[in-house]
Amino acid sequence: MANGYAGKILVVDLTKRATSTLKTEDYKDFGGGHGIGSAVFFDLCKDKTVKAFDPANVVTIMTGPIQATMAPYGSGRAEVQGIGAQGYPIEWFTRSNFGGRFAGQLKFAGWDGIAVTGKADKPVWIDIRDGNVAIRDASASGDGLWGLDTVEAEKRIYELVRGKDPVDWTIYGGRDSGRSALNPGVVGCGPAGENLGRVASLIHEGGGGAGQGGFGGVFGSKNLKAISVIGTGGLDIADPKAMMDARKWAQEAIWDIRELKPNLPGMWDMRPAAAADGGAVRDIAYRGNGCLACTKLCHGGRSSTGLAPGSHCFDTWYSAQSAGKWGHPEVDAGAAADRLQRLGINAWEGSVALPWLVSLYKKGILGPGKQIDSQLPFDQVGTDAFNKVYLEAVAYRKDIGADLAEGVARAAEKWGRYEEDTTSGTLALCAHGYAHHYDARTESEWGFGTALGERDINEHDITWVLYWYTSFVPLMGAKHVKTAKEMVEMIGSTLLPYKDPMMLDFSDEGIYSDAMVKLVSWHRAYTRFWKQSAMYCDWGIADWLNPYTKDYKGLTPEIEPKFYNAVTGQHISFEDGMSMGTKIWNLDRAIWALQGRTRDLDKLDEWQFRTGAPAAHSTYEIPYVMTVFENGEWKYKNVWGRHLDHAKFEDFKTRYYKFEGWNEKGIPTRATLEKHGLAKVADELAAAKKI
Amino acid sequence: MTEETKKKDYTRREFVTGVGGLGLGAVLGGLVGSSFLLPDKVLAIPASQGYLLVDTKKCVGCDSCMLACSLVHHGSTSFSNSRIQIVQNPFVTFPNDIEQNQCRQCPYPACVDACPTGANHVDTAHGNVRTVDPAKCIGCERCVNACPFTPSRALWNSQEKHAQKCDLCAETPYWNEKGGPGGKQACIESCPMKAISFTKEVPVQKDAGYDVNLRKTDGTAELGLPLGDDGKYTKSQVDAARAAAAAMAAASKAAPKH
Amino acid sequence: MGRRSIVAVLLSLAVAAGVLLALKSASAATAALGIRGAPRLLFDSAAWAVWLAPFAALFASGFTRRQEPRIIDRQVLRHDDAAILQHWAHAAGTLILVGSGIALGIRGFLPRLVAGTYADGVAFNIHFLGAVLFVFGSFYYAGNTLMSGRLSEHLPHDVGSSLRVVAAHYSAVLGKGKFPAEGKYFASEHLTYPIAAVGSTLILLTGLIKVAAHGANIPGGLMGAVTLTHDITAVVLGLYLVAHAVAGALVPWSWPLLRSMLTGLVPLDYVREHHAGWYRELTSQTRPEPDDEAAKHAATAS
Repeated sequence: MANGYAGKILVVDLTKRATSTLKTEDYKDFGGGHGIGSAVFFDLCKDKTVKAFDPANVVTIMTGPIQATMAPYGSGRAEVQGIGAQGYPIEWFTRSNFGGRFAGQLKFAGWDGIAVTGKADKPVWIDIRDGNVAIRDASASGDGLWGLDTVEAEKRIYELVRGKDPVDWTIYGGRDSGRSALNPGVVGCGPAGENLGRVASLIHEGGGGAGQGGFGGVFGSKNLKAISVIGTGGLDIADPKAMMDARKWAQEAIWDIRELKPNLPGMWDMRPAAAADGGAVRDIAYRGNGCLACTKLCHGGRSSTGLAPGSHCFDTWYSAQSAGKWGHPEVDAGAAADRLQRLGINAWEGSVALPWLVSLYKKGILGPGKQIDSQLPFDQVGTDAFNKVYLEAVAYRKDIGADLAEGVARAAEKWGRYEEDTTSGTLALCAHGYAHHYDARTESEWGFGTALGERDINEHDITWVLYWYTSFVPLMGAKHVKTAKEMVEMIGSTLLPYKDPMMLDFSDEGIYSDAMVKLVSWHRAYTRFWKQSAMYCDWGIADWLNPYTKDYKGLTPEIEPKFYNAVTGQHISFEDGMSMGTKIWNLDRAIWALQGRTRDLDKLDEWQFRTGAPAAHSTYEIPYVMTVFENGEWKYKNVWGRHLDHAKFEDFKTRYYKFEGWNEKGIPTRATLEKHGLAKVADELAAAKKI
Repeated sequence: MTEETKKKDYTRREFVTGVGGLGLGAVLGGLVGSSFLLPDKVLAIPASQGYLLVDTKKCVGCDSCMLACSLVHHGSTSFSNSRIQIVQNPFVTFPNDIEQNQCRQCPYPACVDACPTGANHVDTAHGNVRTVDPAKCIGCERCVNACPFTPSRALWNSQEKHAQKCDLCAETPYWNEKGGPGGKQACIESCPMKAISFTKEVPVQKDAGYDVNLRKTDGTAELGLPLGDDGKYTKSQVDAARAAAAAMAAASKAAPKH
Repeated sequence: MGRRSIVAVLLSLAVAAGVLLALKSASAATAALGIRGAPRLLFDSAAWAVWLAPFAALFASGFTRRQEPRIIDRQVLRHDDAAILQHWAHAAGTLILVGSGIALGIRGFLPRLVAGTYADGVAFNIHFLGAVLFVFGSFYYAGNTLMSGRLSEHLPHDVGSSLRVVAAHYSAVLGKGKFPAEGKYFASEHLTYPIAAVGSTLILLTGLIKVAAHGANIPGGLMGAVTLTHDITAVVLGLYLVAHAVAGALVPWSWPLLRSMLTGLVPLDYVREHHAGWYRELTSQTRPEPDDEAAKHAATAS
């Protein structure tokens, strides 16, 4: 297919131990990544109501056209999709993704993506060497991968693919055939996944991970330990010169180490991320680390201790609690993060579960001989010793870990605590069994987007500028580089095709307004296409406030189509991408409808309607300053403290459904689906009597 | 045989024999002559007018250089076609987790010497870079095997079936910039860390001559990354960081909780 | 005659052994230059031998007297000394070239069998040895053929009738009908001779340019074309060689001819049976040429 596409999608049926291929060409209308993944899932998973651990579930790992190219954000990302184990009460079809080098190896091996279905009769791993795909024995009597932690398994696969001490080029095939001096790209599950944890992640290179959704457990249910890929080929770029020019253009608007400028307050450092355990204070040297071809370098660094390579941000949130919440600053954050990643446990889940468990322990509900009987040493919470037994309990289903491996939502239900604790907020779930992240009460595109979807959306863009930056400026005693009006006008002008600054009104009325309906719709489409299908990294775009450009104007909406078109040779506009995003969002919504989605499941956990208090486990203990339009003027205002209103939220949903062209139950109508070229999806919905 | 044909035959025979004899004499004479006239014939290989230096403690392993190298030379991105190879193992401790394997443009290039066809040659038109003319390459891979470094810096292009190596971007048909020793190099231009640099001076012919500290004069210190030649923090970096941490701790103790 | 053939073969072997020795001693010298255990390439260090070979061959052909075929004691002198020498020099050269050529592979088409600078260095040097023999054999043949005016003996005359003869010949092989009355050379040989001649000329020419490239800077475009031509021609000649070896050595009815490539003589009965045309020609002529001592010697030696 060329022009940024490898041209083929690998389908592996583990039950039959057979491989086949799909033509990427047949899915080109979905752009790449998530769009193609959803479409492939739709085609291959005949019964969308199967459970996550059913062999009929289909897991896709998909790339888009910009992967393995010089596009500065996202070249190394791979989108993971399928029916996730984590969703509650229904195991929704969901997504996650991870960075690193896997996507590059995959495309250079000639594959745009992989779809895995079925279940192997005993543990296996998939060994891809260019066009050669082998399903190998991962059991103790075979390659001995099953039971290993994610790091040991990946190291072992390096050896299996390249030999013990490879120094020179490894030749794959005959004498004149392809060769590589690199290690393969590997993604796999740890013990948590092998033991069918719903909180099990997929890990790549020790710290890159697809956590949310529980795809580690889905791998485990398929008896699939890991996928390894080595690619010795190349990827044709439609316009190499345009791509190099675009790269130069983008690099000039990204920090230049020869001429560093101070960062804007609260804006995520566009600079190499620290290693989980490194830094001059501890005199543990480290390097920053970048995903493939990235210039942002926020992938966690690697230190001289070798702990938790690549772990960063919420990979280390759990371990950071040792010092920040439990009073154990002596504990090495890298060590705890390392345990979590090696066991393959979803880092975000770990950080919501523990404060809740501690609160139950303190209330005398949980503990030795208590209502929730546990021998875990909660008196030592935060220590290295506690971290070890607690995380291992979750991974190996020991003690209350057997329940926690099911995810906190299911554990709470089993323990009869779900209603009480999600109403009070001690168990701070946002929606669908996923932990609270950015605040639904203050930041609607995040919270409402999550409610309308199937997982914590984890899409930072508004968040960077209209929460982090706006909130940190007063905290640091700095001066805003833009007035609130200038800010919403600058960002509003990029909210194509609407170009409406009112979409950025986060006032008490604004969050339920028709303009907010548009913002949520815009955001669903923007992220579905540009982030998850074209697959620019969530941390790279949207670029809305940039210290290196004139007037701080970011690279959005120029950067998105610029690289996409250079790679594909197409001439799509930013808005074309938005249309594709809407289409993909509708396809996902249709899949959820087939799974049993109804209006009442578009919900947020109750505490968000009850409490205005800030102190859910992950609410940042700083003000939540956002842009509001009040009394005829724009201003920055701390909107912290408010809670949501059921009636207004329901009314918002009604207007949102209408805006998207969905029926009153929140299901896309035939007309809407057909408008997006999804007639066969409408047929399946009709056959299931959903429309 | 008539007299006439005999005569003709003799003429032909004389001619052929003559050509053979003269040629024999010329070749042998030339051989003897050259060995006398040029008794100490030394292969004078001009030094390259440019070299790539790297800093393996600074590299962040994003592989941008690899993709850029392949892209500007071939119009397609690839790991295997890159003439610089960033080999990393995330499970080895810093700083040994990354190797930046660049061509050294050796003063005495084994790859050039090994080439049986002159395909791998010193390109006098482009600052004496050691490079491969794919049209002359017969695919014997002697240069790939001859390179004394691992992985070999002369590499095999398995798609186009020829050897290739770093030419400091002298031949980059897919790039608008001028490359070569007098121009730009795609790996350097695309490196966000500037962990690759260019020099015209012949480096000291040791590993340390090509793997240098590029962190001293830019924003590395500001990013909190180690500055030492060995990849460690300098004493002053550690002292400053600890003093700052202590000051911050004192300030947060003094400040009221919100 | 047989003794001489043996001497010729032994001489060739001696040349090969000498070159191999040279190659072995050269490897120590290059190891010191930093190339990992690679032998010096004779194409670099001894290219003169390739240039010497054609002139030596022409010079030698100048002193060669060809003999006409004739009947000696129920045998026919088919191959004189010169024929035997040029054939086997050419054959040995070709076999060595094809063998080492296959080992070295053809870029983008036939993967190499040898890997590593030592192994492919040896393959190159063996290719060199083949080249010297091939060039010598080719030029010796060219010189001889040019002077004796025998070129027309080989060339196709009437393609149409030749094709009919070939068809009749192979029908007879399959048991249908009678063998046609073929001449000294089969019709099929006339037809395929141009392939051998043109192929050899091309491979010689391109090969010599490739040798020249070791000393001179020849433009890449030209070298690309030269290499491509060399490679394609090599494949064609390789296939020709297989056909030639099958028809001329493998099938039992060719064995008398193969023997004559060593002894010079074929039984008269064989000629009568397989080369009826030539037999008629030979028997209609009256010739002992009493002044030809070499022929007598050949006859007694066999």
